[in-house]
Amino acid sequence: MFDKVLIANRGEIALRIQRACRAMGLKTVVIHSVADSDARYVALADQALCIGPAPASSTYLNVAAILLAAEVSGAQAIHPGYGFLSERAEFAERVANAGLTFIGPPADCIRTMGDKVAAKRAMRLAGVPCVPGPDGALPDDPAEVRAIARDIGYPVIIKAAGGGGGRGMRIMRSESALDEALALTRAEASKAFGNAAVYIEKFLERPRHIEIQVLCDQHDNHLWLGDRDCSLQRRNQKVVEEAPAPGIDRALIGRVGASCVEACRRIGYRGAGTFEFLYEDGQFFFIEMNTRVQVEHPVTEMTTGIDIVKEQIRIARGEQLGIAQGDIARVGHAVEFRINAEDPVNFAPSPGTVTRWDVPGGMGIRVDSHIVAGATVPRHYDSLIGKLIAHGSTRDEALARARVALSELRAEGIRTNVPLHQAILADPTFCRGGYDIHHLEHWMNAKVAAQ
Amino acid sequence: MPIEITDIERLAQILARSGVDTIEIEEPGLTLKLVVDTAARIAAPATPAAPTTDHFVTAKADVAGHFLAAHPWQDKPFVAPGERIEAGAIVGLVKIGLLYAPVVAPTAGTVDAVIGETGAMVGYGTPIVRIRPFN
Repeated sequence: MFDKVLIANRGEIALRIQRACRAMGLKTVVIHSVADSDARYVALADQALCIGPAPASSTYLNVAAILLAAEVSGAQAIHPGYGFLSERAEFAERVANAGLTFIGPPADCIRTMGDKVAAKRAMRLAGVPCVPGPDGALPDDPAEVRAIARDIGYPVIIKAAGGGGGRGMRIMRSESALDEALALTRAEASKAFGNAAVYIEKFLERPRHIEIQVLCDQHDNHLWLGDRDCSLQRRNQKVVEEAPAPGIDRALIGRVGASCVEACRRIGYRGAGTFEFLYEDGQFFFIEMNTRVQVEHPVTEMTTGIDIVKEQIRIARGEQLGIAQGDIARVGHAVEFRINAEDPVNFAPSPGTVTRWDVPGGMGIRVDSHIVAGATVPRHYDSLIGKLIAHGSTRDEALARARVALSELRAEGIRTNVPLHQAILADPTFCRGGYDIHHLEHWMNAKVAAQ
Repeated sequence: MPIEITDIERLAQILARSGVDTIEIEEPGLTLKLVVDTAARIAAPATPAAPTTDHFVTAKADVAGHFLAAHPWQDKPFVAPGERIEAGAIVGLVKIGLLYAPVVAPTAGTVDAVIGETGAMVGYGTPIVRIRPFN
C-alpha cells in the first residue's frame, strides 16, 4: 500500500492535501512550477520537484512531467486536487498504467460523467431527478421537435450537444419561433463545435444551485454527506457556499441524497464526488457530476466532522469507510467565502507580493490558505488565495462569526475581494438565504445603478 | 511510418548535439545510416579572450531527476573546471528512471564550476554547471 503521495496541484488545495497526508503519516512529494517555488507547501513537503516554467501547460497540466516526477521521487500515488488534470480520464488511466494509484474514481466513471448526455442517461436509470427533456439528440423533423417541446412545457432551452460554458444555447418561451431557432442552433453548433446535434431541456428561470457530496469506498459502501447551497455566483463562478441549504425540505433532500448513492452504486463510483442540481419550486434537477474534491468541500467537513480529503486517501488505499449512513451527523451551519486576489469592484486579477497577511481565528473559524506574508500570487493561475469558513450552531451565528473574521483578515500588497464579501454580508437577501443563482449579479447591477 | 526528411534533419541535430557520430535505423524495407562529423564540435583553440567581468552563464537542468556528472558507463565526468566547451556540449545527465536526459551548455566558454552533485535530486531550473563565456 502506498505511503508516499505526489500532489499534482498548487495553491490552497496542495496545502490541504499535504495536511491530510501528513496527519496520516504519509510522505508528500510536491511538484511545482518556477512561479510557485517559494510557496509554503513546497517548503513543507518531504520532497519538492520543480518540473517546469510558469505556464500550467508545462507543469500542472503536463502529464508526462508529472509521471516522470512520480518515478524520480518514488511516489506511489497521485492526488490531482481540483481543476487541472483532476477530471481527465486519460490522466487517471495513465497514472494507473504507470503502476501508480490515482486518488480518485476509475477512469471510466470520469469519462461517463464528462459526457453530458451519457451522464444524464446514467442518472435517469438510477432514479436521480433530471431536467425534463429527452436524454438524446433531437430528431430532424421540426414537427416532432414541436411535440417534444410541448410535452416538456415552455420555456425550453435548446443546447448544442458539443457546446458548454453558456455557448451554443437558445432559450425559447413559445412555439412560434421554435423551428427557426432550431435551425439556427443546429447551424451554429455545426460551425462552432463540428457537431450539429442539439438537445432540448426545460429552462429554469430562477433556480438555486444545490449539490450533494458523496463518498464511496472499494467495498460497496456508498454514503452521501449532506447538501451544499452554492447559489451565490458570478459568471458561473461560485463566490460563497454553505451547508446545509436553507429552507429546503429535509425529507426531499434525503430522497435526492439516496438517489445519488444509488447512482454511485450503479456506475461503480469510488472516492469523493459531487452531484450538482438546479432546484426550483420544490424540485431537484440533476445537471452534472464532479468526479473530484471540490473547492467548497470544507463546509461539509465542518457540519459532518468528516475529513473528506483523508477519506479520499483512505479509499484509494483500499480501506473501508468506517461510518454508516445513519451515523452521519449534521451539526450547525457552515459558510465559505472564497478569498480571491482581485479587485473587489471590477474583478480584475491582482497578482503580486503579499506584504501583510493577518489571518482571523476564534471559535468556528477556519482559514484554508497557502498564503503567508511575503508570498507571491503569480499571474499565471486562478486568483483563489484562500477560503474563510465560518461555522456556528445556526446560520445567523455562522454569519456573525464570518463578519468578525472578515474584519480581522488583513491582506496588503495585493487587492482582495474581502470588501465584496463584507457587502454581501450586509445584504438582507443574502442574510435571509434561499436566493437564486442570478441574485449576486442582479444585486451588483442594482448597486452600480444606484450610484 | 516512412522517415521524412525533417526527421532526418532532427536526428542529425540530436546526434550533433549529443556527440554521437553514427546511427543506423532498420525498419522493414528501409535502412537509414546517418554519419555526422562531430570533429568540428571540439572547441578550436581560439584566441583566449580575457574575461573582462565576472559574468557567468549557468547550464541548468530542464527536467526533474537525479543528476549524474558522468555517463553511467564511464568514470570521467563530462566536464571539469577549466575545460573549454562549445555551446550545446553535454555537461551532465539527469536520470529519470530508465531515461537519461542531457544537461547542455547554453553557451561556449570555460567551465568555472560544476555545481550539481552526482546523485542529488534536481528539478527544472536547478543550476548544474557555471560557465565563463568566451569574450
